[in-house]
Amino acid sequence: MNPAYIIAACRVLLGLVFLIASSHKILFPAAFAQSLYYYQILPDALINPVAITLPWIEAVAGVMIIASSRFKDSAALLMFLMLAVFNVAVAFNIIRGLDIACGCFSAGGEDTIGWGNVLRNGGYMFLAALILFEERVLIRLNGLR
Amino acid sequence: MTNRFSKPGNLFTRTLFLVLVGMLTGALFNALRPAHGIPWYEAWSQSLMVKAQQEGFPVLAAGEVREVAEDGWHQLLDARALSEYDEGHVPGALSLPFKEVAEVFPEVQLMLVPEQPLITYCSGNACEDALSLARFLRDQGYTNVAVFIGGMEAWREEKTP
Repeated sequence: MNPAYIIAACRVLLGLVFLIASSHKILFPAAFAQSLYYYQILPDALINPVAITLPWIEAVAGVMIIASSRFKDSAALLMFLMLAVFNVAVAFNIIRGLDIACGCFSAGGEDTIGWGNVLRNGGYMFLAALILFEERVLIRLNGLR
Repeated sequence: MTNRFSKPGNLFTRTLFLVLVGMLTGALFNALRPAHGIPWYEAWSQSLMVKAQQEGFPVLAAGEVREVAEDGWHQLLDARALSEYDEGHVPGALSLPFKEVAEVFPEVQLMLVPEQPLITYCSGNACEDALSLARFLRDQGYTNVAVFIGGMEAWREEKTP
């Protein structure tokens, strides 16, 4: 199999993950803002601005990583950075013992945060890094064939 | 095909571009949906206080709680989990975790008189359990229920000025 397909599959997978994750938050910004508030990290003044804009940044990254060869690497970098920030926020609240909804794939809801979320995000970060360093990864994989 | 759009540009610039497109789209989308859009600013930290007041529960500050905490008449009720209560609570408070209120309340009830002023609290102003517990107690017939919105967080700050 051509290793380029692996990268292409990663792009589609990550793109879909971000599009699905953003869609519910775009539809229900008030519930997402509430989730952000429960994280107890952002000050009042930043909660709604983040709830209004962040889901769309996710959605734009999701579209671009699939559809644009010019923006795929920047979309991958952006996803990597967002996932890193999400992981710090989730880990911080697990450690200080806050029992809150993740707000990851839905705006609010029942999915409480846990180390599983951090692990899953770590996996996505790995895929994003593969796409970001596509050329080097392809050289490596082609060398193995 | 060598126009300026086909040049790759700097990775950082392109990433920033995506962020800006996302933010602008979000702002535009929020503005164009007046029925579902949200305001850019909400006083989140005060939302519980507003809710409690609207429902007719007096809201107490840490200083007011300190004055009555151990007067033998006001009864403080800790709505957090028992494990959190064990790690530290307001002196004189009884543990009544809201998540297990149905099981624990019959026991706590024996120590209360109906007219006694009750004060509920939880971890801080982002937890709803104090307010939920206040509602529960009101439904049980206790008429004098107040909420200490700042909760444990405010209590610790009050103790160490």
